[in-house]
Formats: sequence, structure tokens, C-alpha cells
Amino acid sequence: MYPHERSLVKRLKGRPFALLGVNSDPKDHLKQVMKKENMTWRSWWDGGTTDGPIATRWNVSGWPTTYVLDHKGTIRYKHVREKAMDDAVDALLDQLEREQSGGKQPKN
Amino acid sequence: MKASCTERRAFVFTKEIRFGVVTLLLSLLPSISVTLTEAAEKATDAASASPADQYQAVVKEYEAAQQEFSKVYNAAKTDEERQKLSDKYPQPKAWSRRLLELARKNSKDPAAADALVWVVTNERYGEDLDEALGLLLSDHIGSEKLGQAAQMLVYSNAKEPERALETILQKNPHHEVKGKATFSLGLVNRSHDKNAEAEKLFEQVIEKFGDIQNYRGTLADAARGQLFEMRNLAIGKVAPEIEGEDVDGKSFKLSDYRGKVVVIDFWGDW
Repeated sequence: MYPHERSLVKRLKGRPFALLGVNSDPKDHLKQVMKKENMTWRSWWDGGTTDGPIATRWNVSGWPTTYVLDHKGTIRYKHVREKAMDDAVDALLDQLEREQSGGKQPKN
Repeated sequence: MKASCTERRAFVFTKEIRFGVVTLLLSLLPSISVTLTEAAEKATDAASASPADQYQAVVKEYEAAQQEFSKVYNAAKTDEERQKLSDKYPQPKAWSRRLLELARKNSKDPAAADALVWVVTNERYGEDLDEALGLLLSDHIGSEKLGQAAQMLVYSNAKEPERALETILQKNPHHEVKGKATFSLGLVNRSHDKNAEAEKLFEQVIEKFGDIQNYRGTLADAARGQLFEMRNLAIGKVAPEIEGEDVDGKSFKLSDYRGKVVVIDFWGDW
């Protein structure tokens, strides 16, 4: 889990991508694990329990649970992990970057 | 997906009990094998014991086996050892068989319902689960103990869970049982993408059975959570805002990241 996320974040450095966590651990434990696992991405601290306000609002009942959003904030994938997460993110990034460069192309 | 969530939770539980149980067991260690033997003797001494006592004895014996497993598992030093041990987790089958036998012999006794609910709670699939469910529906359909069985049907591979839940809804008179069965039927429908039916059932839960306690909060909370997820967290919906603080107390929002592809990962270090 952590090695995959580390490599995903590293690979996509400089591209319009962010990994954001919502964490259910006690605060001191979260601090330790972020340091130990060299996590460069941010997490919301959800109060130290699985009943935290964010997880409750999002009706999360299993951990990890993942959502992948496009650049407009629309939910495009749910419950993807490892390779499926890579594929989902790559597809959305390619689409976004094609649209962006496509907008400029008529001037060429 | 549901099954893997449950497994995950079961694992969390194992981890949580690790510390407490180890210390406790270290002090109780010599008495465990004695407890096991006593329970076994008690169980074989069936003729004199009431069905309720027999039920208690079997359940206690299973719990002792689980504790014994936890002790060995927690004493393991490497992941490899733990991996090997995970196959040795006491499977409930032998205990289920005895409880089924107890229920068959004492079909009129309320303890039979307890025994069958135990089987439905502990068996994920197979003929013992199906037989226990069948007996619950035929011999104990009016029992106030069916609520837990109704909840477990969502996570098991019992045959035709919808039909079982509908039978409970039609024939069981207890408010709590009906509420749990309605919520479970909503979950089963949702897992089969029957969203209109699911929404209707969750609305019913809020309206009629909202007061009933669930695992966390009330059934109304749980039903509202399901409806919110179906209506606002489905693929194609704009994600609701998240506002909160990071580990250093700095506030940030999901909408700060508009313009970027975002992965949201609900996680815990367990």
C-alpha cells in the first residue's frame, strides 16, 4: 500500500495530480507513520477513529476505500487499488492533458 | 467487496485484541487447557444439562479455542509464522454441527434459536448455513432473536437472502427484527444494483425503524449514510467538499485541488 502510493506520487510529480488521505489513526501514530514511511502527501486527520466526521459523511465501512476524481471534482472511479488505481489516474491525466494541449493546438 | 470489508474488519479486531489478550492470557495460561476440558466434559454431559446450558457450553468452548489461537498467533515473531498460523484459525464448522444437532433435537426450545443464530452468524456459506437458516425460518420465525441473523445475511453467501429477509418481514412481529431485516434487504438490493428498491427500503427504515440501535449509531443514521452515498457519492457525481485539518493542524479543503486529478484514500495504519 505505502510503497505503491509512494511510487505513484513520485512518478506523477510535476503533473496535475494529488493523492489525499483521510486518516483514522490517533494523531501521534499518524505522525510517526508519515515520517517512517516517508509520506510526502497530505492526509486529513479524521479524529483518530474510524467513526470520524469525514469517514461517517462518506459512509465508509471498509478501509482502505478509494475514490478517483477528475480535474472538475467529478467522481470517476471507486474502490481502485494498486494497478487499477494507476490505470484510472493515468487515463484521467491523459484525457486532461490532451484537452489542455488540444485547446492550444489551433494556434499552431 | 462487502466480504472483503468484513474480513478486513475481522483482522483489525484480531490486531486490537492482540495487546489486551496477550497480557491477560499470560496470567491465565495454565487454566486454559483446563477450561477447554471442562467445557468438553460439560458438553458431553448433555443429558442432564438444559438446552440453554448446552448452547452456552458449546459457545464458550469455541471462544476458548479462539483465545488459544490468539495466544499462539500473538506469540509468533515473524510475518511468515503468522502467515502459516492464519490457516489454523479455529473454523466454526465443528461447533456449528453440534449447535445444529442441538437445535434439531430441541426445536421448541428458545435456546435452539440462539444456536441457529450462532451458526448463521459464524458460517459464511455451505449446507450448515443453509440448514440453520431454513430451521430459523420454519421453527423460529417469530423469535425476537432473528435481528442478528437478518444483519448477517448481507455478508454471507446464504441461498436466496432476499427471500429469507422477506419471510422475516412478513412473519416476525418484533419491531427491532423488522427494522434490521428492512435495512438488510436494502443492502442486498443495493449490492445487486436494484437502486430504486434499495432507496425505498432505506426511506422506510428512517420513517419506521429509525430508533433501533445499529453497530454504530442508529438504523436511521445507517440508512441516511446509504442514501447519501447512493445519491452523492456515485460515479458521475461531483464529490462533496471535504474540509478538515492535517496532522499539524493546518486546514485544507478538497476544492483546493480543483484542476487536478485527485485520489482520495481513506486509510489507517493497521
